Amino acid sequence: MNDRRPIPIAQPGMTAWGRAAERDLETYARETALASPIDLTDRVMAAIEAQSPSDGRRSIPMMAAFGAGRLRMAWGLVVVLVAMLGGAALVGGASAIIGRDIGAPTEGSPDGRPILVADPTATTTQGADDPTPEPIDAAVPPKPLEHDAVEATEAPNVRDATDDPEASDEADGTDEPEATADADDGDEETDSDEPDATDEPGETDEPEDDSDGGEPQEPDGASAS
Amino acid sequence: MLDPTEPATVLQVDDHTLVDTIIAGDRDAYRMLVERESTTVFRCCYRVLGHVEDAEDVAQESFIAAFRSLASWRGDGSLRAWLAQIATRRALRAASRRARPASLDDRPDGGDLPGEVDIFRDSDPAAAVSAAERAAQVREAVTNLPEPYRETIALRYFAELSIDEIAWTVDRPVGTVKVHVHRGLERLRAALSEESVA
Repeated sequence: MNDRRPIPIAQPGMTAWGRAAERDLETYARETALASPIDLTDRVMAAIEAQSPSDGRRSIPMMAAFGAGRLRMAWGLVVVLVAMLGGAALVGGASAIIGRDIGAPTEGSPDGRPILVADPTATTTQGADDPTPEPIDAAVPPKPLEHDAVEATEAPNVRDATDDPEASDEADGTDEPEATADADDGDEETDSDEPDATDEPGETDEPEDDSDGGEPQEPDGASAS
Repeated sequence: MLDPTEPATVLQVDDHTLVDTIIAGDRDAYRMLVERESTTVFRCCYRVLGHVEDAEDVAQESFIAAFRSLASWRGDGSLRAWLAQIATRRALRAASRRARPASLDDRPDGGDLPGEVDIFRDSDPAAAVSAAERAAQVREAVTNLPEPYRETIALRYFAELSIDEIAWTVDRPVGTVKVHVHRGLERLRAALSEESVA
């Protein structure tokens, strides 16, 4: 009745195999319980030292590098400061020069004074044959001279306007300020340079008038400038 | 600063203190660690590889690798177990790369450690050859075990770590490590029996 024995969980053969393997491993471990080579520590430390120098050897170069870095930083600050001062001086000078005539293209004159160059579109009334740029600040070309120059080049519209005094009066009021009949609005230069332009338009048509229309005169301001 | 000239310092110093000192830049402290654990690391490598020069090379590489990754030591296990795991893994990889059989000439002139038994020294040549063949069978059988049994058996019987140290090192529960050891031994016995029959 009670002769039943407990069934082992693990197979007896398996346990014996495990124990036998453990004995083999323990025997192998005893047989191979060797001492480490004497120079193993020195080899390890030499290899580590070769790959990464110790802090003691790196201390002097690091301090030197640190000092050199501080010196370079100081020099860099000095250079930046000088550059800032020089830049500020340049900007101040440039702004003083540009501040007089902002937006106008300039050319350098021999005496260092900037020369303002006239817009090329403005030279159409000065004479298309004259390639030299007219200085703007020299003087505004006097209207009588411009009028004569236009007539010398025989501009058709101007010629028509002079043929018809009334039509010229209308045109002068709108498009052609140099041939204006109402030049007496107060333009003193026009009155002084061209006293007869409005009173006697017929004289302006005469090509014999070489002094006024044949050779466009250089304005006096050009030489002055 | 640790004094490497004091022999007692090498044995008594705490692992955490030693690691902190090494990380702080004290190379002498790492020299102390190498001297303290060189036997464990070298034996482990030699038991896996069966060749003295190869074991020396792998042990040196293991110490260098440990020095580089010393900051990654978690500190919950022993430093010896951590070093043994590094050496065991490197030795097993090296053994997998080469399949050179060990010879009797690979034996070092050991026997300097207390309690060491060198069966190659005081036995006749026939017994020495037989013992060398058996040792090669055991070594090859362990090397050919599948993971995780291979690493567990090597750490237990080649690096001579306890079950708790293995559990800390491989970051597995103690019961799992016991099961791995048991199953690894069974597989090892089966492999050794097949080799004996062959």
